[in-house]
Amino acid sequence: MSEQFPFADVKLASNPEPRCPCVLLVDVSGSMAEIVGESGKDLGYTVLQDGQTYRAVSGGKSRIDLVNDGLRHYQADVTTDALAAQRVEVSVITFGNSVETVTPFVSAHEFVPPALVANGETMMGAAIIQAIDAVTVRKQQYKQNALHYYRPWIFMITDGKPTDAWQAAAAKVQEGERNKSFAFFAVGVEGADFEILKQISVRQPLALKGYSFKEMFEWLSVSQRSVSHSNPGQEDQVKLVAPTGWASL
Amino acid sequence: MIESYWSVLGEKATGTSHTGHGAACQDAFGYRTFGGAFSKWLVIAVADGAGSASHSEIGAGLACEELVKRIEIGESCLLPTEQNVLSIFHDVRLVLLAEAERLQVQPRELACTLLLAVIGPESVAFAQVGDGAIVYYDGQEYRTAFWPEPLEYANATDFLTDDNLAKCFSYNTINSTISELAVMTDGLQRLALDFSAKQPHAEFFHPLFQAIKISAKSDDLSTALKAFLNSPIINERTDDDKTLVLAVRSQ
Repeated sequence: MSEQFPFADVKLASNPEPRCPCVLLVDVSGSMAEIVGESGKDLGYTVLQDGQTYRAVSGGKSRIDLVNDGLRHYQADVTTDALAAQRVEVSVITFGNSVETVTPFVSAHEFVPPALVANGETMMGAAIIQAIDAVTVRKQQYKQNALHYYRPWIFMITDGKPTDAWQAAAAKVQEGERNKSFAFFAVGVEGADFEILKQISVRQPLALKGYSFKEMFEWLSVSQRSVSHSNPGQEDQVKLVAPTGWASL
Repeated sequence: MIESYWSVLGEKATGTSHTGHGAACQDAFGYRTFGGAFSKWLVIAVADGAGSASHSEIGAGLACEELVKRIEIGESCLLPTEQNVLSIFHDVRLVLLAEAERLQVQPRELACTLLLAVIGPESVAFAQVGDGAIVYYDGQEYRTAFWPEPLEYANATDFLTDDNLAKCFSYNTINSTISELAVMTDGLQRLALDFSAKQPHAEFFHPLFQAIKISAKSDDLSTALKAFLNSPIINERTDDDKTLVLAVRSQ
């Protein structure tokens, strides 16, 4: 026993951190390849080719490039927060010609942002069902391992309309929201079919202002950091920052 | 520290998520020791104000003060029954609702949990609404009055100001007396309880009680407890407010 500090011998229990799961459900249909910015921008260096010096310019950034930048930004931002880095778990599921789980659930500090490529259709209905199944399985794993957890988030980003059947997925989203099985957020980029998004998402779909993906992912990070700092079971009390910087209702 | 049959030491500390935003600690605690023939009795109350409620530190403070004041002990050595305690919780809730009205805010803005331990000469009663933990030593091992089951996140934690008080009220008694008791808010729960073994973490509690037992009676351990609750090893694991009230029988 320390003379200076009477409680020096106290040892803390080592319980695993509660988990805060989030599926990022990203539209990678062909329209996401559209160049939307920075075309012809001076990259600030020159290249020497065939004895000639050329000023390098950007071929432009597509919507999906901006999503990829946003994912990196999101990962960097979440991991600046020591507790959130351990608690937030991310999975990336894409939908284009097919639905793919690009990143199965990993903790934020293990998350390597993928480089997504756009092409094809918009298999949104199947993707939503795959995301719901993924959070259901994840919750079962938490329970088996006696882990505490927060309500999962499914965060969908799309710039189109579903090319597959989406009604069954919409019914599942509504059922899941009613049972508080997860929270489903839909963000529509210019070109998205908001009439259908409103029928899928119980929460008001958000319209991305321009291509402010960076601000959107920043908001996602800040929101998950505040959720992951609330006690499990009390996340409904967390006041999320209004998404006004990047979205309009 | 009160030097009597019971040594009681209690402190609260503001969570780092709150200090960053300049908010006050929303936890509160209160206790009552008794003189003369009733010196074996001890009443402890602890409350955790809801993080999102604007006046929850007022709710928590008022709840502890009113609860401790209203628990009656008598010559009979009998503990208050479940009905008694539930009705007192109801009364305390009404005080909070009246205060909300006076402050012109919704009752929800004074939301807090409430934990109670009433130690008598031959038995102990515990009651609880919401999260937090009560831990006691029964002479052989540390036990919880109520095990805080991991909630499905969707079940919001219960608060005294909720409408369904009878439903979320827990009451329990043990028919022996105890020598050590700890009451804490949920900010410490994951540091003091072992969730895989479903029992209190003895290495957390033993040194705390030991320090109180061996300290000279004039020692004021309050500063040390406060420093402990604000220490980096605690704050690395929780950013919530945390309150710990420790009671040790001195005879």
